[in-house]
Amino acid sequence: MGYVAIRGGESAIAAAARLLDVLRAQAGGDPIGVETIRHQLGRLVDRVCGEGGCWHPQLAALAIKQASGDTLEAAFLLRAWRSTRPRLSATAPHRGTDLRVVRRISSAFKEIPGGQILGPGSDYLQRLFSYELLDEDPDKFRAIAKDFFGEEWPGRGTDSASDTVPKVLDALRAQGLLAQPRPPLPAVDITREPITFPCPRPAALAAMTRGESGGLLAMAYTTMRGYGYLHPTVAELRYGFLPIMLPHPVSGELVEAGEVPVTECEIVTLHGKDDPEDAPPSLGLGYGCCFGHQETKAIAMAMCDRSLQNGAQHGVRHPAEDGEFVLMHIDGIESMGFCSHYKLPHYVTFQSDLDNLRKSRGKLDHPGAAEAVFTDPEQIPDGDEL
Amino acid sequence: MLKLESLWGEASQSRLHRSLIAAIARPGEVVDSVSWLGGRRAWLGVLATLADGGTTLHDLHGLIDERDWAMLGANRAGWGDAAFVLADAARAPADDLRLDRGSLIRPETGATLVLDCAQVGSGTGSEILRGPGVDGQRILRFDGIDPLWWRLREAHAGFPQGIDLVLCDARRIACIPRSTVLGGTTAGGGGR
Amino acid sequence: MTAASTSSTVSAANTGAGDHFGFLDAFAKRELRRASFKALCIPGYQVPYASREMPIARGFGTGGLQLSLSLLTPEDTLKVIDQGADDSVNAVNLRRFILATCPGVAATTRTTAASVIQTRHRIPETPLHAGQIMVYQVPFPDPLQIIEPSEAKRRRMHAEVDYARLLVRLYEDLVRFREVAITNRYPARVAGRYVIDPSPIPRWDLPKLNRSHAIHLFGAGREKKIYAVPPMTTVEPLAFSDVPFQVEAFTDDEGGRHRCARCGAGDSYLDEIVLPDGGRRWQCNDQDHCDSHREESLR
Repeated sequence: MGYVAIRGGESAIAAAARLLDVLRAQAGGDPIGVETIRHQLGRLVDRVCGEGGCWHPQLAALAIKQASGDTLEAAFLLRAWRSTRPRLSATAPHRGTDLRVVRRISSAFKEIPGGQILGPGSDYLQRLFSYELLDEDPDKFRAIAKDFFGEEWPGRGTDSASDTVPKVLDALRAQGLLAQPRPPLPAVDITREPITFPCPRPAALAAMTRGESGGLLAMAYTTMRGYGYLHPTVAELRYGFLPIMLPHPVSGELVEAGEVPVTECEIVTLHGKDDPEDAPPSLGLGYGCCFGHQETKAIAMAMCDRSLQNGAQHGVRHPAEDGEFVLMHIDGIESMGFCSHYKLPHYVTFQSDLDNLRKSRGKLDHPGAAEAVFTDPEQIPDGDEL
Repeated sequence: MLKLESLWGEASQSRLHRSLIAAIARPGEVVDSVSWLGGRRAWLGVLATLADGGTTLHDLHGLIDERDWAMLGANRAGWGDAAFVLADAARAPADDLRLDRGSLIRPETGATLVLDCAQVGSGTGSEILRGPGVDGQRILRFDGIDPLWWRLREAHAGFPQGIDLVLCDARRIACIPRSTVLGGTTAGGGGR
Repeated sequence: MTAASTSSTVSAANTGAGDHFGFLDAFAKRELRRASFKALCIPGYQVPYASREMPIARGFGTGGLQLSLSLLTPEDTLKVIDQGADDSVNAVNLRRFILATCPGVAATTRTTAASVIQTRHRIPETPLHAGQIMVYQVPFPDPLQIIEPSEAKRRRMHAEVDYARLLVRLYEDLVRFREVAITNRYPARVAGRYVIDPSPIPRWDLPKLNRSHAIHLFGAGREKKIYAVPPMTTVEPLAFSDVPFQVEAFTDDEGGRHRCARCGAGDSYLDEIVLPDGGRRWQCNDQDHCDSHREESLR
């Protein structure tokens, strides 16, 4: 058939998939277990569930295995699966007060009702290698949980050690420094209704909680470095288990259908008030909440939420105050997909570019031969007539 | 065991959708959908194909019985807000009937008016259609449409705003989208 | 009506919603239908819709794919092309997915035999007929995107028929380059009202949209928009009265036109192929057109 442009097909696709599989297997060893990923790479699973928009740690672990640890690909697998699931029900709005906390801290007050609960956290670790993990002894590994939980293990985890505590924000509200909660706006399911701008806050929050962690962090970081001035304080950051309350199919009474681990962050800012103009000065609130234990993402989301509210109230002065700028660019699945698409052949459009470039050069090289090009701006017709 | 007419199934709805696409793309062209209606009237096939819990519907003349409402699952809304409005074409619309005609920014929210007619594609009434989807002009014949419906369409017109008409009889469907110009006698060019 | 599985466990045959004809659940299909219907009612206007995540990456044709899946019936004959070719990897992948999820649908490479043609970057050279629906994969649905990044502002500009800045951009190109530097995705006015981005088809293909016999549906999955050009509708490239719109010329060194080295056609869009010895050769981009032309000349 002569010389043809590179074309693949069925066999090329199959070969590419096979080689990908070879890459993960070529070094030998044991296949990694999905349960192992789920429990020992927990933060990765949390991230994939968050960006995948679906709490399914087992499938998230499978996605991580299948994608060889690529978080974008793994979240994409989970999202694609999620979009085939029916929406069965919606929960009533919750205030997070019934979150069973494993960890909660406030940087606003030294003492808070219910107490600071440091819980699991890496903030004060010295980032030095634990070389003993290079070749971890399985018995020592199992002893870690047994030593902590005693005879109750296995069968007991940190979730059972948790309890509810009052919210720090309630104390600020009691003093009148923060506006009382407004009636909740109707939830927006951004997987069923396209986001349009100006964007209602529930849709913005939904977009951010599914946002790519790094993308969201970058947006939030701009507000911390001078592209906006939030002056935020973390009123409360909690990680714990949120009961999912659904109406009983027969009685209609709310029953606990399960629980999801979430990280919730509430920041307050000076002079970012939500009150009417004539009200006394008060604090502004930013809210973040995401699946699993993802503190950086929850804080970043809360900062972006506050920043977007500022933009909506006072007009956009900084990039992270612009709903379209933030919300249309933080989705990992969309940005990754579009970035990857540039790998597809573009030879039709590039050929068109070359043809245009050659024509343009020809005319500029031989100005005398060029056809009449008008230079009078008056000749530009307006938008209504062509 | 509940026996469902075929028009509630995906197999019928996908074919009805193709009929509708053909009809809306070529205003005034009459499509026969009897094979996919399971004995029901065409308007129900149109609604089964397009409407569900994700949209709103108003039944102006009570043509939909409770069972069909349950099958459609569409949310009930007033005539001024509904995305889909169903009416008996033989009955004149009330003087104050105002449907959603969309906005300049979001014209697609303009309502789809589904009219149950005695005949579509034949009959003593006729309109001349011109505009996108029509090569020159097309004549649509029908029976059993109160002339005030045309006036209602006119009252909502102002492209890109407006309402879109789906005319149905027992088995046939024809569409008159807001982009269509009605009336006139000259055979002008296609498009606008 | 929708008997989707409620099971959340991992099944061995993880085909997602594979039990639905056309992969998408009934609710997703109806939303696509409503959006397509309104898109045809308002030619050229971009209807927002809640684009579903597909098992194909965003940017690889998920908008076109969703449209095709919402349109196909078992009586259909499908053609999928990418860069004019039926056997390019992405086209193969999309076709494979559609055929696996739409039992009964036949596949063809012949333009004339297809009832639904999903395409990326080309309109077939063979004239389309009234029984056909073209489905375009669209990366950027809005022609104003090159001059205005904010969608909210662009929507207002479309509403107000405010295309002046776009025309200024074309004018500036003429002054600077003696050519409008928009080579593909060339903006065109539909039915005298909305200006569309016709997807990254070359200029060569744009005149084929004007008063075409087929229905043209455009799906932008990532940007979540659907728009349409009905049959027999005017589609005019934006141009100035004294600088007419021009398609790609494929001019050779002697000022003539390159011809296809395979079928000899002098009236088709060409691929430029760089040979190992540094030479260049030209060949039809539309594979089916080239094959048909070759068969005819061999007869």
